[in-house]
Formats: sequence, structure tokens, C-alpha cells
Amino acid sequence: MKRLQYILLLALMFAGALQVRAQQPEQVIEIPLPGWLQVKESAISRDSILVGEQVVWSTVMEMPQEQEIMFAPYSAVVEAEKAPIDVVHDIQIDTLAIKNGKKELQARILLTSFDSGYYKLPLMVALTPQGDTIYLDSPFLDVTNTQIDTANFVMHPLKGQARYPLTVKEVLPWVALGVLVLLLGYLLYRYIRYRRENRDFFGKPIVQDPPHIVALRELDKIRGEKLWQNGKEKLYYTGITDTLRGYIEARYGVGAMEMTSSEIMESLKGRDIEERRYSELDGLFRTADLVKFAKYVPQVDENEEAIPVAVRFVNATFEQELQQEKQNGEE
Amino acid sequence: METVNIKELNERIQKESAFVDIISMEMNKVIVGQKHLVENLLIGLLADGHILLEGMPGLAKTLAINTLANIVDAKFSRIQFTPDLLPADVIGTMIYSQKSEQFQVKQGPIFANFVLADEINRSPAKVQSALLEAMQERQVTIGDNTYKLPKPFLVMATQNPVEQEGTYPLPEAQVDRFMLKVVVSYPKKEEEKLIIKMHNAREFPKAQAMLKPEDIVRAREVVKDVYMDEKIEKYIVDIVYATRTPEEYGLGKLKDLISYGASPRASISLAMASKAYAFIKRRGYVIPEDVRAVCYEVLRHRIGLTYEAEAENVTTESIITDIINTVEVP
Repeated sequence: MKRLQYILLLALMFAGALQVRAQQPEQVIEIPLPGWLQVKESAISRDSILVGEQVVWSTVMEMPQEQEIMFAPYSAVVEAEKAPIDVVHDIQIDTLAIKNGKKELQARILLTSFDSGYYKLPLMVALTPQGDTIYLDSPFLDVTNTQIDTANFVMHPLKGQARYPLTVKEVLPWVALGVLVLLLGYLLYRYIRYRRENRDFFGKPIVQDPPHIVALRELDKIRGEKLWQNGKEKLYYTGITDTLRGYIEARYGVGAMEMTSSEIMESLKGRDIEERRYSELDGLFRTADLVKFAKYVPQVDENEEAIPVAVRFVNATFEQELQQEKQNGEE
Repeated sequence: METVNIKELNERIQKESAFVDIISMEMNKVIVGQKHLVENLLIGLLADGHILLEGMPGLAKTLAINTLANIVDAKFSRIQFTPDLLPADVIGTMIYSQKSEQFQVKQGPIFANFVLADEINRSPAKVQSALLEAMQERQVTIGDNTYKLPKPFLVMATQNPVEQEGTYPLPEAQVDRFMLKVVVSYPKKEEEKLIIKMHNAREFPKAQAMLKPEDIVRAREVVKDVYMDEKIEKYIVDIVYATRTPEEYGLGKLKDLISYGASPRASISLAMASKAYAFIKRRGYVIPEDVRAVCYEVLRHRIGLTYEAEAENVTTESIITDIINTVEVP
């Protein structure tokens, strides 16, 4: 609460000081500085600028270390005095050195002007906690226009809008994004290429077992699970038919997983499959349908024969294909 | 686990479904070809559902249902839907009798076992509503009294796929009440030659009354007993869900073509129609083939197409084909 009161008091005092300055006539008034404050330097970076150019006013002052001082915003001072200058960056205080119980402060203001003329800059205003107002003297600034040689003046076409050169900070995110996109594109390309070439992400070839190996392994696994012996006939026949459907799909390229039993048998009709194996498979699918969809409990010999029928079908069709490949090779 | 003796079940179905062969035989005496139509009439009859027929005039639609009525020895009536038809012309009304000096109920043509609603889309919505409400509730209210419709009660409504001008297309909610929508096509050349021969003969063959309506009612109870495994139920649900969220079944390409999918009533109808189909095939249990056999008839009128689909000439049939070729068969 006390801090708030202090800030409010300072704000009121600033406003009062600026008001007093604004009401004073246009004349140079020498206002003495307090004894504890010594202005060591007060200068602008350039005495003369062209309209719109920028200049830094820097003031270095020395005071006791414990002395507090607060500067009024210079834009407010300029505003109050209606000075023909513009504040680009308002007052910025830096501590340059602290030694022998004294501190050296630097106040910097970035200014510009869009009106030509020779001006004395408005004074810098500061306040102390004791309630004293301090006015720091200001330098003169000469703002000039570009001289036009009216005798040899030649009209030139308007120039386009000037662009500041791009900085690394501005460009860097875009470069990073570009690199990222290129990297992702490359990884995607590599993934698709390797997938087509049946290789893993690191380029190692993926060894895929032929369909008959997969089917025989799966059938062996089902046999080992002893499903029908434990009253899980439905699971047993579902496993066998799913394995066979997967095998038929991989071997003959028909969508057996989305086909009914009769559709599968229909699709195998023209495939040059041994008559006996075909009818065995048909029987197996029929029994499986009864078990899966009609709560049929098959006889023990039917259960025992189911896997051998499936294995015989896989072996027969695989061997048949091998023979065909051999014959084709000989031709 | 409850076990079903498949032999016993099949024997029962064999016995109870014997009349299916009789009906088919008698129908074939009169109807040449149109096996698909006859089969679906039987499915509708056994599954207690109504049928919407779409086909050009002269394709034996009326003859088919009339013959079926003759075979079952049931009451048949035909209502020609016209723009000036009133609900009372369908369901009946109260008539003042001067003799008894009081109002008497005059039942409409809907009080029959087999009703042919010819060109249903030619009548305004209020008449369609009256019929469809009676179809759903299986009862009609005239005055203060409610009258039960006879059993079996089968409505076969027809629609002409051409001449759409001046018609009142059935709203989606009303169409959903039909269990099956059957598209009737022209007969083959050989069949058409046979039709001419039959008509040139001195006497047109007539189907004999071989059954009683009670036989159909009893058969319906047996159809309900046809065993449907959980795997088949899941298959049905998957098919119906694929019409609603095709992207979940790897059919993302259908997402923009379907404006609305099939309702839960479609699942019920698909299950009942599959059971009836299994019964016709003399089986006591449903297999995936049965579901696929009735899939088009049950779903084709329950899937809404988007403008995009219509612009690309995509039909509900092609969508159903894609779905049944993608959903895994149990």
C-alpha cells in the first residue's frame, strides 16, 4: 500500500513538473543541479541529422551510491513541450560503475525528427524521493533536409519500398522447417521404397515365410493347444478354418477371409486341386460351419481328422505348385 | 454350454418346411421365372415382414401375390393407389345405416391376409401413412374401435421406377418399415417364350389351395426357433455398422457417398430374413451365406446416398457389394 502511495505521489510530482516546464516561456533557464549530482557527459551521437534519421542522446552522471533517482518518460516531456522530435526508444538507465560509495549512471534516449530546423532538445526531468525535481541540460540538434540542386534537378521515377535485409534470426526457422520437411520426405520415401522391396526401416530384408509354412505352423499350434479335448470345439474349428482361409488367400490371391465356405469352394473349383483333397476340404468346411453356427458337437474321430485334412490340403496344393513351377522351369 | 442336437433340429426343420416345396411348385405352375421374387415373397411371408417391389409394369407382381394368396387359401385384396385415394378407402370407415339407424363399420381392403398396394407412390402422404401405420401396428382404428388385422398379414407395395412426375416418394422413415425391397427384372428370352405359350393355351394354369393361413402362422414360430449363433449376430451388426461408419471397416471411400446408414430395424430385419432364408433352404441354423443372400433386399432401401454418389452414378447395390466384400466372414 505504501509502495502504491509512493508511486502515485511521484506520478503527481512528474505531472506537476512537466506542467511547470510547459508553461515557461521559450528561453534558456539555468537550473542549478543539486550538489550530490554531477553530470560528467551529455552528448548526442551526431550533431546534425537528415529528416527521419536517428540519433542517441547519452547522459552520464555521478551520484552517491545510496541516492535514488527516477527519470520521467522522455516521450511525456516531448509531448508536454510539443517539441518537433519523436522518441524512438524512451529513456534507458544503465549503471556504468559503482566505486568509492558513488555510482555512475548512463541515460540513453533514441530520437528522431521529421521537421527540419535547429532545436534545443527538451530537458531530461528526474525526481528524487525527497521530492526534488531535477532538470538535466540538453544538447542542440540540427535536423536538415536533403539539399536539392534546383538548377540541375531531374525528375526520377519513384523508388519501390525499401526492404530491410533479412536477418539470420528471421531466416533460421524457415531453413529449419525446410530441412525438417526434406528429412520427413526422405524418410517417407525410404519407408515406401523399403516396404516395396520387403525390407525393414533400416534396410534389412524381411524374411517372410511362404504361405504353406505359415499355415502348417499355425495348424501345429492349434493341435498343440488341445482345444477340442477341452470342449472348445468352436475355437478349434474356427482356428483351423481361419488358417486355411488365410492360406488360400495368400496362395491363390482370393479374398477368402471375406468369403463364405461355399464361395471359397466355388473359387477353388478351377484351380486344378486333387479331387480327393477338394472334397475333404469341402467336408471340413461343412463340419466347421455346423460347429461354428449350429452348436454341433462333432464326433471324436471328426475332431481328430480335422487337422490332418487341413495339413493334407496345404501339403498337396503346395507340392502341386512346386511341380508346376518345376515343369515351367523345364519348358 | 447348451448343446443343440443338429440332427434333431434339422429333422424338425425338414418336416416343418416341407410346405415350402409345395408353395414353390404351385407358384412355378403359374409364374414363369421370377424365382428371386417368389423366394423373397416367401421370406417376407415367413419372417413376418412386408415387401416393397420395384419394377416395370407387367412383370407378374400382382399375379405372384395373387397366386400366393390362392395357395395359402387366404384373403387377397388389391388397392390401386391414386392421387385422389383417401385413408378411409384403405382402412375403412363408419357408414350410417338407415335400416338400423346407426353407424356401422365398413372395413377397408386392408382387412386381408395379402394386400397388394399397387403404385404406392401415386397417393399423397396421408394415405401412405394410413397403410404404413397399419403395417407396423397390425391393427386399425375405425371410429372408437380398434380392429386387429388378420394373420398372416403381408403387404406387398409396388413402385414404378419410371414416370416419377406427379408421384409422392415414400419418406425414408416409411420405407424403413418394409423388411425387403425387391427389384424385379425382365424375364429371360426362354422364359418369355414360355409365358406366351401359357397364355396361348386354352386354359391358364391356376394354383391350388394347398395350405391354410394357420400353417403359415405356425411356420413363423418355427422360423423364430432357427438357431443363430453369436458369430452370425456379430456379422450382421458389422454389416449394418459398415453402412454407418464405413471408415471403421477400411471403406473410407464410401464415407462421402453415404448420407445415412441402415437403422437398427435393418439389423432386426436382416436377422429375421436370414432365419427365413435358412428355413427355406431346409436348415435349422443360419450360416453367413443366408445373411449375404438377403443382404441386398434388406439394405438397399435403408442406405441414403449423397448428391456426390448420385452424381457419380453410385448405387446402394454397389455400396452393399463393397461392404460384404470387405467385412470379414465369421
